[in-house]
Amino acid sequence: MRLTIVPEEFTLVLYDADRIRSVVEEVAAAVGFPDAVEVSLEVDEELAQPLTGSYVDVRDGVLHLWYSGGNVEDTLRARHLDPVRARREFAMGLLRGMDRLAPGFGDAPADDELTDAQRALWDVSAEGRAERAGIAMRPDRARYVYRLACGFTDEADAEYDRLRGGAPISWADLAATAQRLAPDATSPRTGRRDDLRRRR
Amino acid sequence: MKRFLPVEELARDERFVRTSIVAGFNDPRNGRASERAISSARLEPGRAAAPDRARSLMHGIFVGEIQALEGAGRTTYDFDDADAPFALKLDMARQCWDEARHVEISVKLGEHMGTEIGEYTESTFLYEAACVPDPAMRLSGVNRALEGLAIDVFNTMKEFGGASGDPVLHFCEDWMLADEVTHVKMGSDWLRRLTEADPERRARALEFQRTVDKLFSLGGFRGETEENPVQIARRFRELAGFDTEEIDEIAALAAEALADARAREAVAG
Repeated sequence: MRLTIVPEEFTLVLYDADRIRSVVEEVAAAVGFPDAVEVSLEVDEELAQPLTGSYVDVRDGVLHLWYSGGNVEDTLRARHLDPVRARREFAMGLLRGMDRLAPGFGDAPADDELTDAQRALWDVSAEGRAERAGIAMRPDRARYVYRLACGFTDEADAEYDRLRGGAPISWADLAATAQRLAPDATSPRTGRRDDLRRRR
Repeated sequence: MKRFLPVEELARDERFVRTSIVAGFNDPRNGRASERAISSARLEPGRAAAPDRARSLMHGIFVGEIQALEGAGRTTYDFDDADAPFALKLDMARQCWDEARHVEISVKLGEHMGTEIGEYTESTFLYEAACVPDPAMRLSGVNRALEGLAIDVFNTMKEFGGASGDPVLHFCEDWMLADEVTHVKMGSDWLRRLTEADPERRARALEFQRTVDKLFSLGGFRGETEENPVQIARRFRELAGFDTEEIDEIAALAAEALADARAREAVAG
């Protein structure tokens, strides 16, 4: 895998690009990420936990992964990398990147155009696949994050179980499910959260 | 049993990791998030990073409840009846009962939100504020300032639960909020009675309350603008016995704390 890490050297946090590289490579092998695909991974060291967020997009055949530094930060030791969280986050990113490279996701909008419900549904599917690939995930956290976006209802929970259990997905399927769970245009669930990458 | 238990001797198991507030002030990333185009820092479901911010705050509430229990418990024991009347200690014992229940509720809410005990660090400055040797200052610093903050935090979380359609969070926070209103009112009533004949002592106690209020506004954590994650709950504060002037003063202290934080960040570059 051709992998570029941005930045090459961290100055605000005690993260090490080589350590991040080894985690990505380990996770890529676990989830079966194709060797031929070029990956650019940016960790934004200015942002701390709990200000978490991530974006996965494919541009010109290159998979671009962007993470808030908070996504991979040790919650007990500020500014230190937590390799367990990093493994989890990178696995999700690579799996969603593989989806974007697959034919069924050709119409999927960029990550910053997804509604919270669409993104949450996609994440649930990726979480289930990451877990089956041997990555230790956090199902309780995942379910809460999902419910915030898709609802605290039996119907939403059933969809969560279906997707996490390995149901095959396509962009059309995810979009239709999101529409069914969050049909009201005035609902906060049809919105999307601020893009943490944008500066004032 | 020992009186005036120092913070270092609080009982915790290996799941709890302490952090100091000073370490947070020295983080070179401070203020960087405010350069991002985030529409509001308010804790609302549609805002950036809302799930993890809510989970982290819930853990902070959980450890805060433990320390509130410990603080109220100390006040039942640390003073002779001459310094703290028996009826005051009975009220503090009732508060212990409430806080213990809040700890249990917070553990369950943590599970509901996918947070493990000890997932985040514990800062013990709530208990430290509860260590002052004068019971009147404990009432102003803990019952009025800190339990007042709890009103703001619980109301914010209650609204978060309501807005996200989460009935568990919404109702649990509402029930705890009702207790906090009572705790603040107990503090106001007892502060008035203990200092009835000693205006200087009352003034010192209220000054301590202001110090604690500013400290717990934590560089913009609490306030009344879009830059404050936790909003001042004016209506519930009124129910707890705060008058408009007092609430305005807390809002001004919060704004001051935010301005101080911005100034620190500017100096740090």
